[in-house]
Amino acid sequence: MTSPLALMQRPGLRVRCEHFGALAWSANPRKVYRLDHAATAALFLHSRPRPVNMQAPPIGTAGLTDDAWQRAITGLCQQGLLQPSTATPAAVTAEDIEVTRRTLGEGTPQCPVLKPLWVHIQPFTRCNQHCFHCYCHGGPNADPFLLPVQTWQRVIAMLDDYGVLDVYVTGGESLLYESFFTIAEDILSRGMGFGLSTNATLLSGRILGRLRDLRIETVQVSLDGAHAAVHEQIRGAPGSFSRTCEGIARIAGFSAPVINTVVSRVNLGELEDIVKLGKEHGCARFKFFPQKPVGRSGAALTLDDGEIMHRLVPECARLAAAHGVRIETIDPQQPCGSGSIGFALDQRADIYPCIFGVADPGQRCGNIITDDLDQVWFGSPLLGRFRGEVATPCRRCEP
Amino acid sequence: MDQASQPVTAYESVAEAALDLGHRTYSGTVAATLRRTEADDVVR
Repeated sequence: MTSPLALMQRPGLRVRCEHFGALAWSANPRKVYRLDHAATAALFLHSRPRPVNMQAPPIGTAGLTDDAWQRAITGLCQQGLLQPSTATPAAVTAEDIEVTRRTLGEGTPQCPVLKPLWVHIQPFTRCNQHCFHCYCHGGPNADPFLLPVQTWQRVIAMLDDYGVLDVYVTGGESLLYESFFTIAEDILSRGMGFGLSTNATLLSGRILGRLRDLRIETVQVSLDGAHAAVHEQIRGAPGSFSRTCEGIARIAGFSAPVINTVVSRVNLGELEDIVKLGKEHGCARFKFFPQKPVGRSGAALTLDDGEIMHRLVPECARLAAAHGVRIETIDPQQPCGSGSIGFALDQRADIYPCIFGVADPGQRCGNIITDDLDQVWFGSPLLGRFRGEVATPCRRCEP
Repeated sequence: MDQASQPVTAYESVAEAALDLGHRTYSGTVAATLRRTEADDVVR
């Protein structure tokens, strides 16, 4: 067997500079890689086939010794980010070094802040339900403002160019939004991660077929009670309980439904029954996060810290073990990612640190259409405050 | 060699990457906030 003459960057790899070096990722298989500065320089230079035994080039990256270079090449090869190539290797030129130096210099943030990994977008707030905990005042008579779908497609292209990995679409009821599938297909065709949240009451055969065609790994369904009276009281939607349960079962036929329950003092005692009901309908994963005192939520029904830490969190652990399911809730050991690794866009494409802040004008940081995202992300004092002061329980972000 | 000094670290998902990178980048401020939160709880 002939030894390869060259090494080259794996096709289809995406890379973005970070303060520690770079983040690289692939869409299929979906994996993410953290690269130090030496590995970043090596990966950039191998966008063309390079000699197997290449020495460290004089790029000027701090600490780029021959030893660091060789360890970087070894690491990149072990992870498959550099691959053998039989193409004729090209020697590194002075121009290659200058381009790499400029790319790294201009692209690397000067402060220790990660670029956003995910974005929530909320193209509209109209909904066929009227939940008492809705953070964006959604409902049948919600703000009818809509941006043209072409604008959202430009925004998605911008997020993709910026290196955002995942985009979650929320509302309002996503399946009421006439351009939902256009946006979903756009996100997925770019290889970005995609998430959908729905109340599952509008699943006609046609919509189910289109959802199935999207091949979404998970669909999040809102279920706020294990009994019709509780669920429908919370969601302000008489007759919706049975349709949601049917919807969960239908989604389980082609995807993995995730039941999302907004936990308040009204349904805290229902969680075990929700788990049992979900399992009966093909669901093995649950999200039991507490209601936040934002939007229409009332503080009187919102769990306090004691209820969150001493009732909700232990109960989720107990239920997960007892029923063999996965339950996500607040974890006191984990930081909140809002504003630090992700942000939200409301229906006007205004930027907020967190999707739960879109009803609060005081949390608006800018607009992704009219402002420079890079300047907002790295320069907004409000986002800076989120990075420094907000941790779980996430209700700490209340004003 | 510990993971922090590896030139390349692989994550199986965006969530796993977010968790590790978030901790590495913001751990100092978050740890301080958690300590404050615990203190607040005791006061309550």
